[in-house]
Amino acid sequence: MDSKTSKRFPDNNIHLGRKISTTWVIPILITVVVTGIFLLIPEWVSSWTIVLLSTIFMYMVLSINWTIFCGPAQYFSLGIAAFFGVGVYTASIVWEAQPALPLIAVLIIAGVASSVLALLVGLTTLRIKGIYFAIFTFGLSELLRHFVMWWEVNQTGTVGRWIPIVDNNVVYRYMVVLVAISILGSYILRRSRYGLALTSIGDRQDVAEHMGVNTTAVKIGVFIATCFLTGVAGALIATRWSYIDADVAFDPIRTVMTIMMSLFGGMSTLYGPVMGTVILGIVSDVLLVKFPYLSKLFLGMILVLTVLFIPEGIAGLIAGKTQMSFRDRIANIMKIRFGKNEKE
Amino acid sequence: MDTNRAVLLQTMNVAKHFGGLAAVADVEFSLYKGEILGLIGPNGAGKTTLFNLISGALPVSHGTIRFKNVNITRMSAMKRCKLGIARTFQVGKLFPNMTVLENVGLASLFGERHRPSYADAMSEALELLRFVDLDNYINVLPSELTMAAQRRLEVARALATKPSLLLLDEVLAGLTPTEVAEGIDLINRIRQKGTTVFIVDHIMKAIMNVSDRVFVLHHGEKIAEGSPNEIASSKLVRTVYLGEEEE
Amino acid sequence: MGVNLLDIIIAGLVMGGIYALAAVGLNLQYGVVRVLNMAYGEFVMVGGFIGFWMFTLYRINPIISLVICIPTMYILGWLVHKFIFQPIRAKSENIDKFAGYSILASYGLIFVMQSLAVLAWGGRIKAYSFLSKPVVILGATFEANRLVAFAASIILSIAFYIFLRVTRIGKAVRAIAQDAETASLMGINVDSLYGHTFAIGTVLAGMAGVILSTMFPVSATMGFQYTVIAIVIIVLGGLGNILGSLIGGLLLGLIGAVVLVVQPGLVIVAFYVMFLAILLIKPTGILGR
Repeated sequence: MDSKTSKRFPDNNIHLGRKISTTWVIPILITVVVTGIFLLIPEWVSSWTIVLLSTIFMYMVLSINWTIFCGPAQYFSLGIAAFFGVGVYTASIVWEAQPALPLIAVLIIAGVASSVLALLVGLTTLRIKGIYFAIFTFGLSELLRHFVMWWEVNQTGTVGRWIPIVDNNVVYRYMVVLVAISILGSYILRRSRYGLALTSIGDRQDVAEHMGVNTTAVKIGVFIATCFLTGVAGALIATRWSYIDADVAFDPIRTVMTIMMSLFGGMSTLYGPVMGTVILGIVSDVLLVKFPYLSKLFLGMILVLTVLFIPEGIAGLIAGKTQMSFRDRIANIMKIRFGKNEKE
Repeated sequence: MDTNRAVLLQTMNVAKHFGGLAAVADVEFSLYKGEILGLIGPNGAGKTTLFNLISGALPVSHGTIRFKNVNITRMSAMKRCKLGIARTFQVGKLFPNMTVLENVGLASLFGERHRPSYADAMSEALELLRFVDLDNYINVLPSELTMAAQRRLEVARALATKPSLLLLDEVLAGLTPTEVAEGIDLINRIRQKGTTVFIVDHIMKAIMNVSDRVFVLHHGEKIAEGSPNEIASSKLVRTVYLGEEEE
Repeated sequence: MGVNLLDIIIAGLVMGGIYALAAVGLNLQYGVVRVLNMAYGEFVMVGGFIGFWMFTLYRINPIISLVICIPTMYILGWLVHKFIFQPIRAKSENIDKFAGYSILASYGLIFVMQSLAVLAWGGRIKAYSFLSKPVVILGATFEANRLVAFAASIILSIAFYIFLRVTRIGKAVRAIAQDAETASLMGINVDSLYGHTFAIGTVLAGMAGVILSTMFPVSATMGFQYTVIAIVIIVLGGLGNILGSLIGGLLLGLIGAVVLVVQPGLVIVAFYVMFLAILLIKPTGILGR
């Protein structure tokens, strides 16, 4: 029987324990180089482009992280806006308390706050069937919105808060780094034992338990990590707004955009969400400009139509239609084989 | 029978009720280290339920299960796996989105107390795939394998957790006579490696062939226990199986 | 003070009745059709607007609007199922994939319906006044519309419960909820009943919306929180358990009324605390298996 491509790795990877140099060094180098290029871009393009790119990269962080967990595990989080908003509000609160804190410190604290929420959600709902996780996270953003509004009206007396403005280029550069971290994280996880465990959980959770996988711990661990970056992304982008309130911070549009981009791009691969974000990020930006009142309608429709017609996403279509793996195609084009063949 | 052999698994008054129906009712038996114990019974007799109770897939309604002299009745399936119980499953429980090697590799990575490196785990997995004669298919998805090959993969995956006790749930069902013979050979080789085997199946001939002892379940109760010859010539067992197909 | 225990209980029962009605519809869609319709609250919103426009434009009594709801919401629900959930079911390899994809699709549907509502009816809050004159019964004063609302929701809920228990179709629906495969083997046309059951759930949502419109303002964005509330109730009562939804609805209504007096902005928070509690203690719900 011919070796066919593994659905999980359209790159024919076997992982018989290759040396560090071949498995890790090349991808890390590529990531560093590409990241470096993007970091330098502000020198050459307009400020408007930088702002647009920052937003697209933000959604890329959200989509990649959502896919890292929800793709393999098949537990769908509908609460991205909640973790995002926690990051936003934490940043504002922390900076008000300690105005002199550097950006990186605030971002980390915001990420930790999101992680704490993720831990609570995980301990409650990741121990039981996936549907409870979906519906619990669904109402989470609404819950937090109500709670924050109540707090602001009753406890602090003011609605909304200020956030110090950070230069657009700085926001952009940090966002590029976040994307790089997310991509690297996804790449490493997929090739690690926990990535394999996560897939087994999505495939046959009860069987995975029989193979010794602590499914609850794996789920919670990965979920927390992805929510950390989601919170950081929220805190970072909020520095562009200067004013925040509960409605803006916990706007469910972030959830629907992220899910739409991830699903459209394809949840089974690493490059799927990246592609989905770029394509739909540009599309939604155009929609917002041309049809401001219809944009939400179109976004919702895109999500529904994606589920109906291409639930496997564009990446899934590519993997299905071509018998060749993505990596093989690149390799054929460049006439180099990355990695060793399993027979060696 | 050597009564000085160590008892590996023991159930006492174990029962499982679903609503008003007792799928397993007061089953008591012992399993000795190094033997192959067969379990037979007509359809619906409660065989798979009993397996589920032992592996931890279902909680008991009452009774106790002891393994290696530890009370595992309340233990999760994951803990039982680390303790040394492994099982195969009946239908379609291979991980469909993972390759053959990854299916086994996952069990190598997580199945024991000791945490192997990724490379070591995959090497062990490869060894096991050679043991079951699947090493030509390591990069293939389970859906692309024949049924007999899928069964062997199930076995390899269970063995990857380095079990002391292997529960084989209808591994031989639906196979051709040649494949059944190969299966029996594999089971014997597994016992030679030191693993105790508890096997459930419909195919009487195969079970009688491979088991040291057999016991019979009917309507969730143990109705007979003994050597294969004793069970085969038992009038009670014949009555129970009257009308059942023998392969 | 000014607020006594009886007022709280009445308010709680009134809201509870509406919650129960709404929850039953969602539970029907989930328990039988196996779709967890995240856009459920949007159908409540549509019902609310039906109540509003019928009264505002044509002076039609909301009770008549309840009847108008039946064919309109039925067709709407049936179409949504036919064009969205049925195709997804056909394409899904197993029930878990179907559950996942239908949740995602219904999430998208939320934004579609909200946007259409904003386009059609504007984004502002609208309200009308119906029967807000006070009525005195047994020495206590109630607003007439609240009495009517309570009576309507309780009658409708009980009528529906009886329908499920007694009629042939109701029994067929319950059979599908238990075991769809066996039901189809028994000659029940499962596929067509999926569509009709979903539609009935939509009708219940719409009716809840009409009743709500008699007492509260409606807006294009009101749906989301009712979805959340309905979800909390059906988990509380047990997924798929109709009686559990009735009890859970009343329970949540009472709790909501109490919290409303103590700290008005925390009603949803209180519901979520209950949600958390039931998930930690007994996720299958009070009446769940």
